[in-house]
Parts: sequence; structure tokens; C-alpha cells
Amino acid sequence: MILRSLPLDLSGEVFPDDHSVAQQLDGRDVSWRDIRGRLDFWLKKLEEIPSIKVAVFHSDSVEFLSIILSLWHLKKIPVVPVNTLDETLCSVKKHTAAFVGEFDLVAEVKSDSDKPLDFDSTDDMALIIFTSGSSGTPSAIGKTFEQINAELEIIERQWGSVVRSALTVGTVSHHHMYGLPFCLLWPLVSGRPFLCRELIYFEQLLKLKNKKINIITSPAHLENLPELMDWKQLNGRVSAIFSAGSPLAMEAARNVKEKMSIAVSEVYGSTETGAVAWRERDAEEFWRPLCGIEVKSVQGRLAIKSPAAIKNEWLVSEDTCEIVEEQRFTLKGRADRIMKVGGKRVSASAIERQLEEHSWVEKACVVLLPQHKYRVGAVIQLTAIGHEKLVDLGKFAVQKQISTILSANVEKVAWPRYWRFVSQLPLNAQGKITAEQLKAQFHDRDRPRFPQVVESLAGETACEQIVDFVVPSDLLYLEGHFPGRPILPGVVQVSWAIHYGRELMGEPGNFVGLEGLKFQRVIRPRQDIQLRLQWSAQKSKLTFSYTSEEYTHSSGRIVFSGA
Amino acid sequence: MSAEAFELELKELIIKTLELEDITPEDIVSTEPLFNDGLCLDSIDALELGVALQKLYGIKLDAESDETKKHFFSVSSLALLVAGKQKDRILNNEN
Repeated sequence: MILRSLPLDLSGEVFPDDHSVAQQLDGRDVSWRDIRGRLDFWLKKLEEIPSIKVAVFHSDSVEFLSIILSLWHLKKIPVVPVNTLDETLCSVKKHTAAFVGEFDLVAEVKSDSDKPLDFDSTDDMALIIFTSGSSGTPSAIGKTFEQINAELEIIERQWGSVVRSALTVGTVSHHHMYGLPFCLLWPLVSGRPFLCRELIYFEQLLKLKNKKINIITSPAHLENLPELMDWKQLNGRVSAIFSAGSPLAMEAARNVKEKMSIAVSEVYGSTETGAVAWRERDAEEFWRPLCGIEVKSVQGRLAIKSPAAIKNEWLVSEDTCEIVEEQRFTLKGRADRIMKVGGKRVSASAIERQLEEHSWVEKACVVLLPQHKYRVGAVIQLTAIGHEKLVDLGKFAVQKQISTILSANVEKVAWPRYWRFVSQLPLNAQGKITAEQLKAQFHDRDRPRFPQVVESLAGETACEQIVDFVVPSDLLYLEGHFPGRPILPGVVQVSWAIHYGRELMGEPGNFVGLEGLKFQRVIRPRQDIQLRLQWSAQKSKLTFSYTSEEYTHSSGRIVFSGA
Repeated sequence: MSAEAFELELKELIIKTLELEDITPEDIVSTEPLFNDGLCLDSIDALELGVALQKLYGIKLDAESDETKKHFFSVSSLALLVAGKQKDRILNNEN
């Protein structure tokens, strides 16, 4: 298929008026005539903006596309942020003060608001878009029309014959260099329809009546396929399914194939280079470069030469690789993630790869924790066996067991000290894991786990203790218990009783059970509470009660085996 | 203080000083190695622990000496070391 070149020449006849450019979720067509209407609207509006660069964000693909096409027609340069968070917009404001689309701020349009370009600007500059930030803070990348057209041709050459006339639907945003070409520009220039809205749930696919569907998605979605969905309805209707953004687990790719009867085409690329290579994830370990792209290893890192890249020369990526045979390679994680632990330089990627070798570990991410004495934290997604072990053996034993796999190759000081087992690694909207999100998993370490003790007194007898305390409002255990209505969990009350009773009890032996447990009134944050403890060595029982001035909140006896 | 009570005190010190997570004094077996299998502590931990012991019990440790290394083997051996050093110190002060 011959692709139209960007920017489209809107003065000529780009498409017949009744050409279907896009489709609404309810099946209604968005024709080129409709788009022309939107172009008229946006051209009038955008003409008035004096600045060359204009920030654009719109979740509706048709609106977004209309704005982009209009800006191009006006010889302006769209600046595309990945989201509209304050932090992101701060970096956008370095480029322009003109904002169009779904921004919370009232589109501030100032005259002469252009800021200088950070990179060589040419007449051919098509847009400014941001990197994902998986290797640090997001940075702005300028793309030319020549580069974008080259990428679209590469994609078409590789998959055009597979996708044919299918409707393109995406679960990823078009505000980055995977979603923009795959979900929007490729369908546009090849004359195939795309869905106006980003899919949120796979179940929405069932509403579509189209004969053929081309799905643009990411591991975040593919690794969480709804089990209860009636996949049979899609049988034979999915012509292609793409995944990119982060590595897709082979197990997930196999699950997709089983449910949708089609192999996932996993795409590797970057904002700087565009799409670089692909593999059929259910069966292939090795990546194959796309037609027209060359790869080689430079000191263990993957170097790429592509007509779609921002420079027409070899670009050395941050990904370590091994070229296994001619034009086939494996990726081995990012090279730039060197952490300094205890004076030693260690690669976070290497630790993650090692951890993932363990049969209990599905995915592993490690991060240096400056606020915790520069120790390493690990965020782990366990396999099914791993989950069983966590229940059977407990957290500490599982950590220790998994750590042993590091003993051959990783310095002990770099072994994870703090572990978080999660059902899903924290991903941002692009399906990427950022260092900040990983660190946030350990914020709970900063929160108190014990009450603020006002006074701790021995009771009337030697086997009694009285602790007056206040429940801190930021107590860790109030989190999620319950949202908006925090109360002190009963299990925490029992555990505090044992904690403060330890001195009374000496060596009580093992915990045996609980007796006469009563939780009469809830204890809330900031409440003044008195804990009374009484130890009976003879019976090996610790009697506790939590009271405030007005009420007895709870009481019970904790039974031990005796010394 | 009984030997068990002192060992418990050391276990609490280890957990607090090294900011260990997911483990209580009860989980630490007094005779198990601190550094290799057992607790899996590392060289940074050894330093921190040494400093904490000096601060709390006023004892001096020679990090390089083989004897110190031997005594850092487990909670029990550490307890013996600290008790011994404290006794030395008291005797020295009395002289």
C-alpha cells in the first residue's frame, strides 16, 4: 500500500469526503468530511496563536489528530506531553506557553511565548515529544517529518499485509512515540480506520462489530487479561496484536495466543529511534530488526541505525544486548542503571535479571533507597509458586531464599535489604516503571508502627504495666483500614500488648492463642488511650485492656506456652 | 541479667541499628550465623553494629582482629564478647 506523506497537503484532496478515517466506540463512522469540519474549527482557533510551538493534549484521537494536522498546516510545531501532571507541564512550559486541548489551565496564549529549541530546528520539524523517563527524567525529542514518514513506511512494510483493512484499536495513549505512530498516524496515512477512544478494558472489544481488529497494547494490559471475558467472540477477528513499552512475559504472550488465537508481535524501540525490532513473543527469544534498520553491539550496548531515528548515524542505546547471529539479538536490560552501594558499583539490571532467574520470581525491580542508608529495595512480582511459598514460609524466609540466587554474582552489600511483594509492578501510563514509583513502594518505612507513648508506668504490682499513649494519625496500620474512616486494627492492638508486655513477661515461651477477646469500641487516630497489662506467670497469660476516659475499647488474654 | 535476656537485648539492638524489616527478635536464633546463612548481614552491617556496640556498652573492638570476627559469628558469641569486654573495662577502671 502506498502511504500518504506527512504533513498532509490540506489544500488538495487528501481523501474522498466519505472515506472512513475513524470509528466511534458505538460503530459510527468519522468520515473525512467530519474531519474537515474539525479542521476548519481548529484552523480558525489556532491561527490566532502567535507562537510557533503549541502544546497539545487531547484524549479523543480525532480531536487530537485534527489539532495536529491544523498546526502542521499553519507551519506550527506541536509539543506533545505524555500527561497533564504539573511536573510534566513544567517541562512543556520550557518550550511553549501556548496550550491547546484538555489542559486544566485556561489555554494561556501569550504573544511571543516561543522559547528557543533545544535541538537543531529545521523546516522539516514535525513535533516535539517526550521520552518515557525509564532511564531518568523525561526529555524532549524533536522529530522531523522525514523521520516520522520513514518510521511509518517501515511499519507498513513489516505489517501492512497482515493488518490489511482492520480497525486499529489501542489501549495505549497516542501521546508518546509508540501510540502516536501505531494507533494514529499509521492508520491515517494508510487509509485504515482507527478507534477514536483509547480502550480501557478488553471487554470493550466485544462491542465492536468490525470483522477485523488490529490491537495496539502493552504488557500492562496483556499480563492482566480478563479471564471471564468471552474470548470466543473475537475468534479469527484479531488480525494483529502489538505490544511495546516494556518487556512482555512469555507466559503472558502464550496466554494471549490461547485466548485470541494470534501471536503477539512485540515491538522494541525508543522515542529517539522509532520502532527498531520485533519478535513473536510466544515462541521467539531473539529480536529481529525491522526492514531497513541495522543493529550492532558497541561495547555490549545495542547500537541502531535507522532512517526513522533522530540522527542519521549509529545511535548507541542504553540497552545491553548480545548479537546472537546475523541481525538477531537479545536484550539484557538497561546498561545505565549503575547504583553505588557501600562504595561498590553494581548494575541494577544485573540484579533484576538474576532475581528473575529464581522460579518464585515473575518480575523484579530494584532501586537504591537514599533515605534508607542507601540500601537496595526490591519490588517483586511473584510467580504462582512464589505466592504459595510466601503464604507457607512467610516474608522473611522467602526473601532469604530468593536472595541466595544472588550469591554467585552479586556483592552482598547490594543484595536487597527491603522487599515489597506486589501483585503488579507499578507502571505509569506508558507501561513503564520509573525509579520514583519504585521508591514510593518503600515510603511506608517512614511511617510509625507504634503509638506515641506519653507515659509508661509500672502498675501496683510487679506484674502490671500501664502505658498511656496517643494513636499517631500517620500510623502505618491505619492505611486502608478503612479508607476515609481509619481505625486501629484489632490485630495491631494484640501485637502492641505483646510488645509492651515483653518486659513484664520475661520469657513467656511461644504464642499459643487468644482468650476472651472483645473489641467493644473502635479506637481512632489522635485518641488518648491507656493500655493496661497484667502478666500471670503461673498461667502464662497476658491480660490486656485498652481504655479511654469514657470507654473500655477492647480487652482480652494472650496465652503463651510458658518458659 | 540472664544470658537469654542479654541475647534478647542484642537482638533488639541488631534489628534497630540495622533497620531490619520483617523480623522480630524471636526470629533470630542465637546460635545461627549473623553474616552468612542465618541473618545474611554484610560488611556495612558489621561496621554499623560495631559502632552501636561501642556506643551502647562502651567497648572497643578491633575490626581487623580475627578474634573480633570470631565473636561476630552469632548473637551468642557476640553476647559473650560484650559481657567479657565489659568485665575487663570494669576491672580496669577499678584498678
